[in-house]
Amino acid sequence: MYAVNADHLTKRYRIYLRPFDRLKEAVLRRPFHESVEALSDVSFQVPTGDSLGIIGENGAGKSTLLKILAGTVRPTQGNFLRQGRVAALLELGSGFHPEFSGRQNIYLNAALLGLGEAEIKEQEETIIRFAELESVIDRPVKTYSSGMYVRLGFSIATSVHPDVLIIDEALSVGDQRFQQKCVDRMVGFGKSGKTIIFCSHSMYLVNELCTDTLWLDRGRVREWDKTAKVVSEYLAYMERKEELPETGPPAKNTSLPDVVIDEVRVLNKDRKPVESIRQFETLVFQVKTRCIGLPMKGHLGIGFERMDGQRIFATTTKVSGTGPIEFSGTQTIELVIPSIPVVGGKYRAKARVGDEHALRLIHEWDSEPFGIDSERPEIGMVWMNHHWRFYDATVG
Amino acid sequence: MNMKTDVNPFSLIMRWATVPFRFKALFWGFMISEIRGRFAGSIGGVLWSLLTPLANLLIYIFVFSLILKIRLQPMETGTDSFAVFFLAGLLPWGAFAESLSEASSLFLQRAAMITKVAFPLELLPMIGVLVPFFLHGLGFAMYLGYLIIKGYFHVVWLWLPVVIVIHMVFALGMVTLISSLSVFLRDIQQFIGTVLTLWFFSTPIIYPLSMVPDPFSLMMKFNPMYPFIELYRRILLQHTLSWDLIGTAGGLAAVVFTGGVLFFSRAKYAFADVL
Repeated sequence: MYAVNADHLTKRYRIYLRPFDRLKEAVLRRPFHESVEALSDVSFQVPTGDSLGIIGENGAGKSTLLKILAGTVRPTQGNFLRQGRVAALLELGSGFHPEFSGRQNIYLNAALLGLGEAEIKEQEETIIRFAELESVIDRPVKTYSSGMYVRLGFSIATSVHPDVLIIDEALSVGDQRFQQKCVDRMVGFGKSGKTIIFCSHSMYLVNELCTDTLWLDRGRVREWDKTAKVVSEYLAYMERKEELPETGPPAKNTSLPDVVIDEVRVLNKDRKPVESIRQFETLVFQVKTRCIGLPMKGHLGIGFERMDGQRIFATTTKVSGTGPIEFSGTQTIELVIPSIPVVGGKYRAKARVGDEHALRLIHEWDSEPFGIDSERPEIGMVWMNHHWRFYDATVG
Repeated sequence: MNMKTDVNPFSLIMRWATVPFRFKALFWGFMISEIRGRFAGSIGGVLWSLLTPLANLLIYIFVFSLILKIRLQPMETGTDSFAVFFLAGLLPWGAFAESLSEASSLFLQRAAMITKVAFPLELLPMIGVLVPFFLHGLGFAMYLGYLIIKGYFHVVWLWLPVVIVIHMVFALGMVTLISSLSVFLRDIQQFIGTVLTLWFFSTPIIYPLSMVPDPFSLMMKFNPMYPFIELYRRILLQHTLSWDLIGTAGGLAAVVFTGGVLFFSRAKYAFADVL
């Protein structure tokens, strides 16, 4: 059973240089437009209860696809089927009337999303409570801050209990605590068997919320597979595209995060810093963290990659199941790899601190390049244990 | 979701007729917010929808009754009061003209909503007609009250709701047509005001048809607003019912509404692309 089934969706926009051209075309019945294909031949299915992430660069056709799924834009070709009530948040609070109070807007907005009056009455208090707007709900929304606007919009859209929830970048605004609340609510959504279609530039959110992910590239499906696979390939593609500087930590935004990584080092089995290590020896990644604000829970991810950006291996305290780390003051955390099997060459370690849900990236830092020494010539990325067998043809 | 464009006029009209009931909460939500939104932030509120026609009335009485000294023949018009005569035409015209002048921005104004939320767009032209008719209806009700006090009441008045409904269907057809066209031809916004002024003066609203000299009075019959204004006036003041006029008005309403619905049903899928 599919909640959404998209079948060869194509959307072409006609671009007219002047409005008069449109009239000329309508009257003269000859083309006076340029055709732009925003979406070509996109097919996918989302089984009920699954969630689909949509990723891609700007202009890849994500918004067009979401608008088609939400039903505001018609595909030029192709078909799609949706099951049940669909609520789309293409822009939070897009139906709000600035002069009306928050409460009045709840009624109109929930009705826009397809709710009946009795249902709205029932949900009203829940919506206000979730949006944390109890004290200002009867003021006109034009007096709200943009964060309050977003909170109300998200609260309404998710309170209408849709079977399919379509969300576009909705979480990019609002403070971190509320973002977390939104994520929790969406996770709960997924757990209760609802379908989510989620479009975002945040790979953390996509990773956490979506079982499958669709990668759009210039209007076409570049990849449609399990999220982990698509996201890692997308990230690799983006990194290749950005041509990161060869060494040194990446430049980060200026505001200081709550937890910073001061140092990432590579140690040998005696916990001595080394520049290179022999293959199959014990390798230790050491990360020094410093918590600037109040103590907080979070996760640490450590991985390493080849100098061309090809990731070899990465793990997080969440993936390993050790549970979140309590960050406070300065801490030293080590990841021990008892026998390092990768082939000889230059590598670089990367460490990332994320929040409690491993969703939001708080800080990341790279180590200096380190070497893996090996004597024999090698092909590929890792050395695998193996042996050869030889048989005579007559033995069979 | 059905992707086929339905072009059967009957099922299209059925869709229009049922949409306010199927989306009741949204329909009333729009209605209330439209009325409330009009006066939001103003102290006078709904009072303004009464004061504006009143001010117009005083201006026209001053110019036409006091200065130009238009004299009405009670035999022809059913009244010798210019104000009574004029209001019978002005209030229905006002509701109609307001619907049309706002039609050009009906969809354009709500571009953000239309491109981001899927909802039955049919509701917008309906609201665009119902709200002006409702607001002018308040003034009209007061006018009727005045007429009753003055002893104008007559059983023929019971036909009034029929005329109003036909008039609203006609207005809905026009609004649907103009609002859909305006999405593609934004120029309509610029000249709709002028067209309405011309239309107002070429319809016998300030003057009775009997004052119009010969070749022009024939042309009046082709003015689609003429049968409506004439119907209101005959029912209210002369207490007569013209089956001819009701037939013409009903036919006009049916043709214009069907045309509007057909055009809208084809154009609406392109709205989100253009807006």
